Amino acid sequence: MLWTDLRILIVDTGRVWWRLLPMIMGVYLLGWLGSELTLRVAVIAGDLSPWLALVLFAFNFVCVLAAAIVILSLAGRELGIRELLPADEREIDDRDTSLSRLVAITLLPFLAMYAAFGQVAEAANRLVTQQWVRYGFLSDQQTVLGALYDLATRHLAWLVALLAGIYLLRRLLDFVAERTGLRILDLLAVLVESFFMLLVIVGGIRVLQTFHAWMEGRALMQWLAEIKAAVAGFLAIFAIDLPEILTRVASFFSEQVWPVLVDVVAQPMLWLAVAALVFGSRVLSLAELWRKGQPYAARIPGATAFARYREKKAFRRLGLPPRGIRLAAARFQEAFFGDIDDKYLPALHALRLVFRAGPLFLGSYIFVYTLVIIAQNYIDRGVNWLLGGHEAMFWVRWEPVFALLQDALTEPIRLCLLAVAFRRCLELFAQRAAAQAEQVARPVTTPVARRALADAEARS
Amino acid sequence: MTPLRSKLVPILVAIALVGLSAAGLRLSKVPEEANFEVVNGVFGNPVKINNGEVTVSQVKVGTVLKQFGEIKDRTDGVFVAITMTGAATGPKPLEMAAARLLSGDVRYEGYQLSAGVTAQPGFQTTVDSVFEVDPAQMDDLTLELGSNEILHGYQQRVRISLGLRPASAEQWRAAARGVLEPATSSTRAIP
Repeated sequence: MLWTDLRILIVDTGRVWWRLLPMIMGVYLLGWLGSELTLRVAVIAGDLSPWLALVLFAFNFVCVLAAAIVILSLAGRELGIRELLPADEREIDDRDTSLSRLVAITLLPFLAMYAAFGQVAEAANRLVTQQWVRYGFLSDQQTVLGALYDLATRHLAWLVALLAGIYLLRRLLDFVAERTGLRILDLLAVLVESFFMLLVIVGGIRVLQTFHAWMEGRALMQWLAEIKAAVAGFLAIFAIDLPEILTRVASFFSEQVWPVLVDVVAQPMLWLAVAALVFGSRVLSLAELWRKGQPYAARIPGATAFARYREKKAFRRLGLPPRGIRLAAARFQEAFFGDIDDKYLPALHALRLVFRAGPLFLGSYIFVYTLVIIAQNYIDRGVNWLLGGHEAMFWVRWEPVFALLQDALTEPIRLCLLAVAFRRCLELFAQRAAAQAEQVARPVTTPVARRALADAEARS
Repeated sequence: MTPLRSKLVPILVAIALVGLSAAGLRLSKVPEEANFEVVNGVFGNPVKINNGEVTVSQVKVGTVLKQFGEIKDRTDGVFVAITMTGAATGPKPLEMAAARLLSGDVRYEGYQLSAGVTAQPGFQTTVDSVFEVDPAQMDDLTLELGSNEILHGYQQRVRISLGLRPASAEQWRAAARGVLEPATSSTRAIP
């Protein structure tokens, strides 16, 4: 079983990658080109205003993520993921017919993943580095980092108001896009969200630093330090060095446990969950039902975990719809939960689903996923070994080329692996559902079971 | 297979695979502080690096540091002054401002803020870099020179062993009981 999973994950990933190589490489290179162009334009636009640079830089994520989503979609099509659905369950989702719709509805969870694993911060660092190179470290020209630092430390209320305004703008765009069906508004909403995340990540760090510095000067911190010293003094009676133990436990957790949890377990699992969204809510809903052993059911909108919040509310609502203040509160709740619904809930449900695929499959998937990341690391080391040590400017100048070399070889493979792994999940659910159905239908044949059934009948 | 074992075995296999993945990932990553190219040099001979070459020519020791004719500091350890010359033979300046001494896992930073050597194209600069070291941990002292960069990538670092083997370290410790007066830096055109 272990070998089956490993073989399927490795061989099928290789096959899909090879079959689609020209197409996925073309899409990947287009995404890379778009991302590099937006970075260059954003850096030049920084001469006019750092805010303009930040707004334009938001396009960077759209290019990278749109390419990833298209590659996943192509791999899913090649693997026939939709064909795994029974014919009478194969309802057409609008993400299957329109690429722009697919990109628009899946970009937000992808962006959330990028932000969660530090890739948004990494991209923001590239922008900051390019601005440093352009202006020098001691220049009077205001950089993105300088503008955000200024806003976070001197005009915090403005920063908070700006964030609230951008959030409301995005929700408004969502609302109008839903009402009018204009896809360009969906993409615009993603751009606004990218800008919002950049602002939160780059500006938020400054706010946290300011808050930390403020906290350090409070009496509360002194009290906490005194309590800690008192507890340590008490435990010293029993020859227990509490600060030393705490330091060791903290360093073991931060250096050994946390990296394993984040890099080895959480990243592959969450990426698989997010990738699953590309294949459609219908696929996910059915996979959930398969997992529960109910392959044909719940076609009512709102009945499954993958239904939208509004549909779920409508499905559960009893009695007359609310009026007055209650209606306003319900609308506000809907707007707020609608946002979480769009961004995180589908991915969380998909994660819950993926977790049920069984430990052997998950272990195999994590292992193969990590092999791809290890290959990426060794390519990086290979480039360093081949070129030798150089000054920082050399690496800044050539970084896009080396990053392309490293990512173009491994990123499409990683995306193909996600599609293959999700198809394997679906196969496992379908097999289990079929086995359960067979077990229910099978007559009782063993003597022990026959006796138990007879006893139960006699008792009744 | 019992039901318990049939459930336990896949979990244990999965944990083993995760452990294997974690070990592989850790081995494939180079820690940031060790991510540089080591260029090994020999004491007394010039070592070529990106924008020029570096030569370490002399090592002096003492317990009292004298600068500009005045006693500046005393130590219970040992002051080590290393005479090094940096020549910018290429078209760009030579910048090897970050210098430290290594002895096994122990790192000694420079006594002064900028312990390394820099030179403009066509020139060579000779400096005496001072380090304060622990006499109990000065076996196989090695000088490491690199550049001080705010943005940093995979850079070159020169390592030159000063020839303090465990056998001779005792002699150095004995020789250290005296005044050490490092020379001031001098710059001249490359001959």
